[in-house]
Amino acid sequence: MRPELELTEKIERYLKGELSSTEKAEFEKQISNDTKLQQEVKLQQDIMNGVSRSVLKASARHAYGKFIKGKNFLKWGSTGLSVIVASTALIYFIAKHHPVTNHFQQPLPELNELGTKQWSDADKYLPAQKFTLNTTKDTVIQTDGGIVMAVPANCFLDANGKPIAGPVELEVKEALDPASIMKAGLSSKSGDKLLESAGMFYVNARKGGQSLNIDPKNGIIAQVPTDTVKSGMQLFQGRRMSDGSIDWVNPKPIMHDLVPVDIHTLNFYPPQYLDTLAKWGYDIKNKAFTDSLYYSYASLFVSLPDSTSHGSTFMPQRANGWYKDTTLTMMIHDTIFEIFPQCGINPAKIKAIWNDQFQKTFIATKEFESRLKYIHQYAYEDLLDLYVNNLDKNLSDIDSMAADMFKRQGMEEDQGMEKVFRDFAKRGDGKVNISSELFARLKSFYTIQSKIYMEAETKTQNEFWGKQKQMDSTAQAKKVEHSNKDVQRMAQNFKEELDSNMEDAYRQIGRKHAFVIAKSGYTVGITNTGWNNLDKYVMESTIYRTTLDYTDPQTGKKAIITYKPVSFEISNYKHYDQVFVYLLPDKLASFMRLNDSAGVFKEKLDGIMTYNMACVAYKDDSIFFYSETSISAKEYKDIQLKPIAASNLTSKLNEVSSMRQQSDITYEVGFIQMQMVEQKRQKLLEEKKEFTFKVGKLLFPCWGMMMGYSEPRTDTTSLRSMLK
Amino acid sequence: MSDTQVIEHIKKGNTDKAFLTLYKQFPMVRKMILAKGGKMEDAEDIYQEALIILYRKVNESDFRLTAKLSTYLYSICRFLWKDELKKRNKMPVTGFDENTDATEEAAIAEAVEKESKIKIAEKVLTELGDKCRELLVLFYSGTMKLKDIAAKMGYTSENSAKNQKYKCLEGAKRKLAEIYQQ
Repeated sequence: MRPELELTEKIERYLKGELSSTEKAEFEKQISNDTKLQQEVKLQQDIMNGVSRSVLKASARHAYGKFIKGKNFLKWGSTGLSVIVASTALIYFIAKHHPVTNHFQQPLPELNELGTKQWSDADKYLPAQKFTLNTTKDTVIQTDGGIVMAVPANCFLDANGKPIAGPVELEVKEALDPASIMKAGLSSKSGDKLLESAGMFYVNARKGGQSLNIDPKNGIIAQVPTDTVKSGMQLFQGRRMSDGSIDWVNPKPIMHDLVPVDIHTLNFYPPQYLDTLAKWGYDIKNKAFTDSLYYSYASLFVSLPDSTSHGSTFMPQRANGWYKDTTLTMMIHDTIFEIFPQCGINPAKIKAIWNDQFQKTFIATKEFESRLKYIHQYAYEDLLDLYVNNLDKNLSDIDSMAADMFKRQGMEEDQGMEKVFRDFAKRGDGKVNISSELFARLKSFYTIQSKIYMEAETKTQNEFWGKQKQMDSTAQAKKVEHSNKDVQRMAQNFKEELDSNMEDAYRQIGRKHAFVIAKSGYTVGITNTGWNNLDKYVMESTIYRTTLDYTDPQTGKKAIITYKPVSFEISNYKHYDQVFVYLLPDKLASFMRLNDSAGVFKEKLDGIMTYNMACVAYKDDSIFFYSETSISAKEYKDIQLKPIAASNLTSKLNEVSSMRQQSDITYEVGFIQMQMVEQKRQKLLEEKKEFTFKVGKLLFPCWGMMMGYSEPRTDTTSLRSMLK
Repeated sequence: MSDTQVIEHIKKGNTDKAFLTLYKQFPMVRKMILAKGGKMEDAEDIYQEALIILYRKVNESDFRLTAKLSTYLYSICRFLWKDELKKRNKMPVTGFDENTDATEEAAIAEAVEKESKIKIAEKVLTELGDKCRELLVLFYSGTMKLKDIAAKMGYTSENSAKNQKYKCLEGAKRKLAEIYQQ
């Protein structure tokens, strides 16, 4: 080693604390005397810090990846095991289930399916289930024990190998649980080896009493129910022995084709979606509703156009090109909602496979459905793509590919998933044959459609929220207009009341009021000191609405303006959403809206005016009304409102208001009604947002966590307080 | 996991575990940064940097925990984001709730300054090439045995891997010395 390298090694050992105490003391002494060495140590220390920074960054990224994916994986029960019954009818042996017990000896035909008279104990003790089939059509039957058999058209052949026409009788016997197996006298021996028995069944088809053959190229598919699918299960054929037992021979591994079912009967939603919706009281049978709700979240998977990709080795990059970013955003109203691709599968992708196009592919099988649950759980779209892009392969082969994918990633959580998919692979689920042309078409359909769906959802959502935003600003403009008018109205009222009072006060002391009150109505320009006092008193009296009792110092004449309290107490006040009480004074051009203190509305009446009163209350969509003309200054109690049609409200109000007041009061009730509608809309929007988030958290659990979401703010400012 | 346990993990070098626990505070920081004009990526970067600074602080010999780790982490993030905004806008930033005491802020500023020097060393490593960098990272992360490192990096013997490591280290030192002299 070169001397510099040796020094480097020594410094490293020193920095890592690996030197012995004597070595260390000696080295430190050396350092203290050698500035060049000091520099070397410092440099190396810096470099090591730099290395540790790289290590720490990787560690933080790793932790972040885990944090985002930190979820528990649930276990689901398995669905079933399918086999193809392709040889001639015989007794088959696979899985277990339901008891079928009947110990009476069963009537038997003369000849068995092989044309001999040999019958086993099982034949004698198991009851036969008979189905009559039309051989020209594909038929699916289900036995009492739960075996589902798919019988393709024209699968039965006569002795010459020609398909049989007309009705055929299919006979099934089953012993699917240990008790039935034993009672039927069936053993689970193959030669001298004991088999791990799980269930047996017998099928035979006859026409006119003659046993038929099954077309080996077009076999019956039997799906035997089971709670747990064990690997290594094989299908044995039974051979009747002379002692009445059956020996199990000719084992074949179960690698079976899958049976597509109607894709719309499957559940492709995230696992907890339907259950929780049901718990919340929604109708989960309404697929139009559950679909549109679920698919609406596709819009949250749209990526921001201008953000840069932050790739790391710990978070797999999505390769198929329809988003490149880890952050996806959407504007809901003013709130930014984002869904991380780590949080869930884009619903647009589910929509693209959950439709008639994918009928008759393995997508439309129970087997795929059970895998999709894990794909949702793990929120890994690459995995979904892997299955959809390999429709022509055996499901079990794709399972292995998926397991390998997890192995390559090598994170702690991935090991659990690797095992899940290895277990799937062991089930040996096969494929559904599709033509390469169809396969190619479906592949591009999936890619294109999922993008189209996502864009369509985004457009719908944006349109909706854009419209709401527009309505928000319209409502806001109307509110501003109304509050401006309120200010004008009050100023106008004040000015008119002051004018009336002033005129009356001067009339009482026998003089004419000579001063013009400035148009603004608030500030009064007074230049003549002689009458100043009275003006001031009238002004104060009007502002504070207190009684004026003035004696003119020169003439001794009195000027009296009375203000007397009036109050209205509304019966059953709490029953209404909103209650408004208006006074309509004969000398003023507009109305007065009274302040509400817990159902009691108070004001002071100017003695020189006559007042009409109107009360309008709102409850949901109904309007209630009460009015009284020429009220007096007293406490009105227990005012009973009566329901009134909205179309009558204006004319009722017009009855108690002067011509001058009518346009103002019409505007006022119009505004209030508009506000009622607006408030209802706002409430619905809040509920919608809340619901969107609630369901979103359910569909994409880590989304809720990442949002650090606080409950939505509900607008508690009531219309009433706004009007104050 | 309690703060003491997190600190314990950091000191022992179990950073993955400590960081995973500390990421629980991330949503809060993320909210703050998004509210202050940042993007998701900014939040991720800032948080990562804050974790590294916290790690250094905890490993200092005179480290004493005076507040909750989460509070401390939040303060670091806030400081870093303010700093970042200043750099981007070249303008003073307002609107952060200013309840950090000056001593704490000064201490954070010092730590950030220190770390930014380390960034220079980190940059030197990148310039050195992927192979050297990976070799050094593997050596100092302490997760792999020398034998496995040699095998992974394709060296014929443990000795040649070790020798190569010292060469990389030496090269890095020379480059860094050059930068310091400029």
